[in-house]
Amino acid sequence: MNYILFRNFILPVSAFVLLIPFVLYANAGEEYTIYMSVLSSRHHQWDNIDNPVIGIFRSSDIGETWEHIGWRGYIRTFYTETGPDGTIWAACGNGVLRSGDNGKSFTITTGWEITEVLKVRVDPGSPGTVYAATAYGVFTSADYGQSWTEMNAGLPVLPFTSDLLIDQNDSSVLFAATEEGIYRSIDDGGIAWKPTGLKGMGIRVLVQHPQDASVLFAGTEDHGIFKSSDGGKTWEQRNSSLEHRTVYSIVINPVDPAILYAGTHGGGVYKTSDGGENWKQVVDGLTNFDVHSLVILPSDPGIIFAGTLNGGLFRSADGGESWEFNSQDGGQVWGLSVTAVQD
Amino acid sequence: MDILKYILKRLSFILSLVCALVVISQAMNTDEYDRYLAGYKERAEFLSMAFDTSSNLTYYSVAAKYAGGTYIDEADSMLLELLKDPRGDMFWMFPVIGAYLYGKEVMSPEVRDAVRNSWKTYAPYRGDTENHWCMYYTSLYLAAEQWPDLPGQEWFNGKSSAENLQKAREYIIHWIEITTTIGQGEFDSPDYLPEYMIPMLLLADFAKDPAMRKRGKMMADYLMADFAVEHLDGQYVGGFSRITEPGVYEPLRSNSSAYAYLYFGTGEPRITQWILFPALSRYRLPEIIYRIAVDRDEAYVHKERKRVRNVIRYGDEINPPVYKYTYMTGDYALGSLQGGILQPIQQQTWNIRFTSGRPHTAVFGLHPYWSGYELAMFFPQRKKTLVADVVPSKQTYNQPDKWTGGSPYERTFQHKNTLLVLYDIPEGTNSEHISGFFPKTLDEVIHGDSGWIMMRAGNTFIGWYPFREYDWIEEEINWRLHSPYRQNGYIVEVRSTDEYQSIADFVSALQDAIPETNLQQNEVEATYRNPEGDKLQFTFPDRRYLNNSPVHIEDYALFDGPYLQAEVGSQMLTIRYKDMVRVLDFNTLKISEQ
Repeated sequence: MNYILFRNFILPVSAFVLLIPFVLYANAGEEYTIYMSVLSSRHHQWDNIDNPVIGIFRSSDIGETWEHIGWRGYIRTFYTETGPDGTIWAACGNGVLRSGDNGKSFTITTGWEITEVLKVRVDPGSPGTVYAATAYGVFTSADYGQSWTEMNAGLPVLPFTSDLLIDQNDSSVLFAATEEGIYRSIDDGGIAWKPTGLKGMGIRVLVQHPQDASVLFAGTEDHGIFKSSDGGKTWEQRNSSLEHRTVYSIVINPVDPAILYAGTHGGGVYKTSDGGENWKQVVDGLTNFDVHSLVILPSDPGIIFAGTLNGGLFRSADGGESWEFNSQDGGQVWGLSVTAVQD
Repeated sequence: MDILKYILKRLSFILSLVCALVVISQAMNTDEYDRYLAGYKERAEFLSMAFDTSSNLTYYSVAAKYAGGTYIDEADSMLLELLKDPRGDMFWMFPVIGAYLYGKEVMSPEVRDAVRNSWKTYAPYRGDTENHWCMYYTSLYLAAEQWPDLPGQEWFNGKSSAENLQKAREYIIHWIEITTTIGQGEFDSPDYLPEYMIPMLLLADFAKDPAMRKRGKMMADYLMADFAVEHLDGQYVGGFSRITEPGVYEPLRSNSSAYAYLYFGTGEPRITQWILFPALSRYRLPEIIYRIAVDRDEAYVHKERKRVRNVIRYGDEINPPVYKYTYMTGDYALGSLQGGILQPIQQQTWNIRFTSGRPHTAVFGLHPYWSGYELAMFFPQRKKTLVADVVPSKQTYNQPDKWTGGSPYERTFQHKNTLLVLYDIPEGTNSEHISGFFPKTLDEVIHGDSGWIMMRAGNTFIGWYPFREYDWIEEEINWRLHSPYRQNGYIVEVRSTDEYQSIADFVSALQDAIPETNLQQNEVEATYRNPEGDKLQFTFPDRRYLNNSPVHIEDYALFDGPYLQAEVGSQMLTIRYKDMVRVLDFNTLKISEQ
């Protein structure tokens, strides 16, 4: 009994407590840029070119100010991510955009075959390898977007994919969030897929525990949050006190991974402090409860941004306990990401 | 021997007479087409003149001025002004390249540079519909041809001229291939026909690649032939993938009617920006298509197979087929789509359109349905917020009294001029009633004791037999049939004075034509025998029997009627009119004629 207590509780907690200073040290002093992708805005007119309320924005001062980068027109930006070499990638209605000059100019890397790109993911160990989650399935490029290959073998007939997860321990392993459940890549590089749980469910988001790669969380349409502790082989529902069961986004505190935040449809933000066992709604100050995107600042995990559908961006400086409107009134803040500033 | 000579003489005389008649007939036909061409020229000049002399600051006025050659300086200054603030995405791309192509030889170098620069600095959205992409890639193709050999940094999207040309070419060929094998997705749209015709005409007129010019011309023929077989007195008729208000109840207000005026000489002239490029184009409608469009001497059944707009989720295939059935006469047309959700938002499942009673020359019914689930089948955003996303640009979408839109709970079965419509609407659906539109321009409306609502529009008689009780609500331009029952349906019969001398005769013929119905949830069905004795049995959603034999709509060809024939997958369209034949072969890019 004592051994079990030691193995399951004392050991992990001790390890975690010992890790905290290292994580904080690793992030301390590091500067981060937050990227915000605004899909549309109630204040944007369809054909108004010079009205930069949509598209890609970034902030290097924790949301105090935002800079609009890239095209000013209506190109429908869903998500923006920066690769390890500083290349900026944007998932757009027009395709996958790339900027190699820190946002001064962008190139559409894709042709007519790839459209409605909802998420783009860069291999952290290979900056030229990029994956695109689209309404028409998954595509990949191994040459910075010069060429793209469809990788839908094994996915559902209609392979709509909302999100992709690259395994942090093995970047050849991918997980795809489809409308028919979660799929895991097989063979090197994810050439084909096989189902690995939550069959028939619309999956909106997939995240991985920052320290234990076998732990995954999935946010779903209508069915709440699921957790896997065996690398996606099995999944268990984690909906205690989660009243709103459509979950668009999940983020994990990198310093204390027992703390997670979930962005929901209609319920704003939920928070757990026990690894998803129990949730509580944290909406003080939120004025829009359709939270589609979340991002947490690695250097100060008490700072969280929540992007809403049609209500703009909110910021919390106290771990989600209270929120303040930040910017983009009326905007659909579809995607948020954070990246360390390059030296 | 004398008798033989006599017979031979007579035979040769008769033969000569026949030959002479054929020659005269051909000559008369040729004269008629010449007259058509002269009339076309007048109409085209009238329409383009309206833009040539206009001071409205639009790319269309600019294009007309360049093409006209009189007001070049004014065109230059207007274009410079417009290019200070490019806007409109793909709706900007085609008029700006069109204006450039008409004016590049006469415009000032400063303007030429400004146009070129705009393709570097303005990044247009590609859009999310078939017509958006058609406009986007056709314009990009023509622009890339005009400015070859430029590197990526000279283009808004970072791709070189060669890359843009290649990608645009690929898409145009892909679109033509899919259209001529499994059908157009935004098919038969009274409002969106120009969004396809203009790109094809610009290709036909200006593509440097002869093969692409040919493709443009052939697709213009294809689209206009598709329109011509379902054209009546300036109106597009039959079921539609996309139609908006007011065109849905005032057909001549749709943009396709401006095309009917220009190309067929029917309907009424309309000055709309959508007609300018056709009016300027060197494209001439082939005689055979013109004749098909205006000859309504014989009634005919025309069937088509199209495809559903791209289904991205909540379905079994990306482009399920759509089956169309249209009955055409000189006085009216009755047309329907067999199926459920084919296009969200703007579908019209069935209608009757007629020649009398302008401007409101239509009767139709619908289930005014809307849902985020439906929208999420076609759009990538989140289904719980999609209705709110769509409504700002499509205000009627979630209105229970709207007049456009399809429903998964509405099914049709048509045989000639008899239509049977069934509804099985689950509880809690948006909405739980069905609607019918009856214009006040109808000459007569009679609510008979038999249950039939009888109507007359000029020579056209319409009978509508509702299966359930209904409210008859007077509105500004119409009466609204509102029936608040989820299991529901009706029969529609349409005839003309060719069949009945008077509406009284028609009333009499339908007096005893009462359907047997079962309106229980999940068991909705009807059996009906029309005045001609044909028996229609229809069980919701898709079991159809005609005279006790099953109807296999899945066997429909791409086009099947007296004038157009095409097999699924063929990439060939055969156009026939009397002894004339024109074959569009997209496999070989050849047009053959007899």
